[in-house]
Amino acid sequence: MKDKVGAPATDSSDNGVNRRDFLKVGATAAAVAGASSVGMAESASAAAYNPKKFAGTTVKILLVDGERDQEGIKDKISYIQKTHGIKVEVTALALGAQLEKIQSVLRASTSEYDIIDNLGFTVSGVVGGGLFTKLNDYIANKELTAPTYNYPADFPAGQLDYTSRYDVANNKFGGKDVYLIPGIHSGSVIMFYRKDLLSAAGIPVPKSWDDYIDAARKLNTGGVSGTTMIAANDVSLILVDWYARFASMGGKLMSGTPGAKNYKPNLNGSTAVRAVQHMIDCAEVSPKGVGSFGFTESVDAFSRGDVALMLCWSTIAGSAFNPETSKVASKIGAVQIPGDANTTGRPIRGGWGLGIPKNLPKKRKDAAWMVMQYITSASFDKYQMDNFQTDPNRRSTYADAALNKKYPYLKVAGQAMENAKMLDVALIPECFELVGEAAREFNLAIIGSQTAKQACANAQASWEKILKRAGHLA
Amino acid sequence: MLYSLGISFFEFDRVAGKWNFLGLGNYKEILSDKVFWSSILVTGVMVGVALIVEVVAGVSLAIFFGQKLRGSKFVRAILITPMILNPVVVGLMWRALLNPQWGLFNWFIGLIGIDSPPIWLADPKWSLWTLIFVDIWQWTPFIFVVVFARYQALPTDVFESARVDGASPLKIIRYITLPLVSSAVVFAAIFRGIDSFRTFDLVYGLTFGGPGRSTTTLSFYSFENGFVYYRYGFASALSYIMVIMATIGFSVLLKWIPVRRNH
Repeated sequence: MKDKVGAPATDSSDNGVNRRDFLKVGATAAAVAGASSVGMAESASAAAYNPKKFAGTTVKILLVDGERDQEGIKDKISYIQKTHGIKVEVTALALGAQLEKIQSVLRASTSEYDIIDNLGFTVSGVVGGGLFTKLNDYIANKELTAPTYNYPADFPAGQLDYTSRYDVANNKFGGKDVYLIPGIHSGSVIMFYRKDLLSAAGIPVPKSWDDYIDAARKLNTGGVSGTTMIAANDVSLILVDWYARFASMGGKLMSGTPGAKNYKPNLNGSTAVRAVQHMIDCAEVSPKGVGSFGFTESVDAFSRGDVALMLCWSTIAGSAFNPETSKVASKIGAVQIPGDANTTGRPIRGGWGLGIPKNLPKKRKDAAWMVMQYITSASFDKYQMDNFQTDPNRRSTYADAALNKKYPYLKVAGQAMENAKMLDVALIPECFELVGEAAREFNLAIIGSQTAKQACANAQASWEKILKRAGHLA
Repeated sequence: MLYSLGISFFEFDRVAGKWNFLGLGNYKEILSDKVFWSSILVTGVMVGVALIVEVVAGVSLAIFFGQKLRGSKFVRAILITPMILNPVVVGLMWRALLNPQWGLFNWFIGLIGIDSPPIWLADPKWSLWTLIFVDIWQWTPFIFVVVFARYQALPTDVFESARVDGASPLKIIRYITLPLVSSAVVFAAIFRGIDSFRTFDLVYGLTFGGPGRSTTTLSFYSFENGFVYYRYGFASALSYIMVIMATIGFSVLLKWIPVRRNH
């Protein structure tokens, strides 16, 4: 189904990648990356690459807390000291505090941190503002970059156009200039389901949104809720549940461009209303109080065995496969999110990108690159995924046979990463404000305070007001 | 303070990394903003209701524990525990207690026969009252501690004379205890009122301003604009409007409530 306003949106990853293509790409990438499976440092003998070139320096890294990103690096601090001779210090702040810190650090005369991890939705504000170092010369420099680094081939193309390449001159995602490297984790949204319940009820795994609500209604018996979702007044309501429905139903969120001042939202179109209505229908077969559910409540309900179907970031809900934290670990399956008759599931693209602030002296930048190269390497990507179950960044990790045996959802998460779609409004700094306003209206619809149509009309009005104030809409 | 006053007349362009002068633009936008007016209402209800209940309950507890009953020291120590917890932690703790699936609070009220309790945090009809309830739970001990300290310092001979003269316990409270502790009550109430007026952390941990805007206080709205949307100028202007409101409000309150009696 297409929205009133036109064809589905496209981005660089718009050509869906099927399972066979994905495995082929992953296997090739794995073969290349495999050479470095014991770490970048071991590649020191190749070419003129010398990991100890900046020995004796200290590199400070700023990460987000609460997403287990710092754990892998902390484990490897002594390893980096040994192989690179560089002392690494890690600071992890809660998301809000980290975003605030980034704003001040990047505008100081000299940055306090050498490496900063940036949320995809904030890239346009910080990289677009010209505040990060261009990395093309580093990547091309054989003295500073290991021959096995395998950038860009080992990363999903769409992810590179989101948390790596940016066209600063035209303030848009993609282009040829590299400012960030995807990491510490990426991720997209996949569908988790209870294999035992679907099988017992004779229901096939839902492939369309109509199938999804039908299955949820049929499975909503015997103390188990048909589905759950992020329905609280939280930006994730939009990013995970609503956008998965909207984009997969063929919706196009925006028309025009911010530069031309005709950047108009399509939140009151039929597809937007249908996506909200689908969430309202799902709320009726969700656990009581789903209107206040964030990630924790939803994933916990699923892991307790109280829910049959759930959409979630794989990087968060992967823990449902862990028998130590899930009562139903052995009964879960994971597939791509549903689509419609004429569309395939298009989840949102998530993830982070590591960059080196522009306001650093050259020597600090060089040392930062050595460390950043290691923590975005294939070997570290596998280590982080295996030990902390965050979604990897590299195709070789998604396709890794041993990891797939251990984490059966990994292959599905990798396919989702190849097919995921960037949130259109991520290219303007007002992204969070827009998403927050829509989340508030849709939350009110889900808890029954207004209809789907009213919620969409209100969200449309708010978005237009914000876009006009910001000068993106005349 | 002066810096934030200065930026309240500007807007920060994050992409260009520069400040654009708006004059009174932020202030004008705030005054025509529906959310600002609804936040005033939410903040007003919260300050008014919470403060009245906290003062009545805190003073009552202070007088009750002033009777030096057996075991009162132990109960007093437990009573002040909520006050020493971080409000964000209190918010998250109550979010768990009020969980509609497995929260202890609903289980407990189920025991007294209420089988279908409201969804406290997801229903706009209940969310503000839930927020106020948690605020009262956390901050009544503050009023209690301040008033109790004053009550303990009162001369005992006044009370003994009243008893000898045949005054009933209620008359002693009405005509002796309350006038003598009134300065402490006013101090605690004003301190609590200002604190309640700028409530942010509890909202952050418990409801994040929702559902809809039902629990968006002025402070939370200011935080949201400043630190989630990066509208530093708008958030600063909003904070200055709050400062003006608080200064006027509490100056009037101080004039209206006599701390010292002249007779």
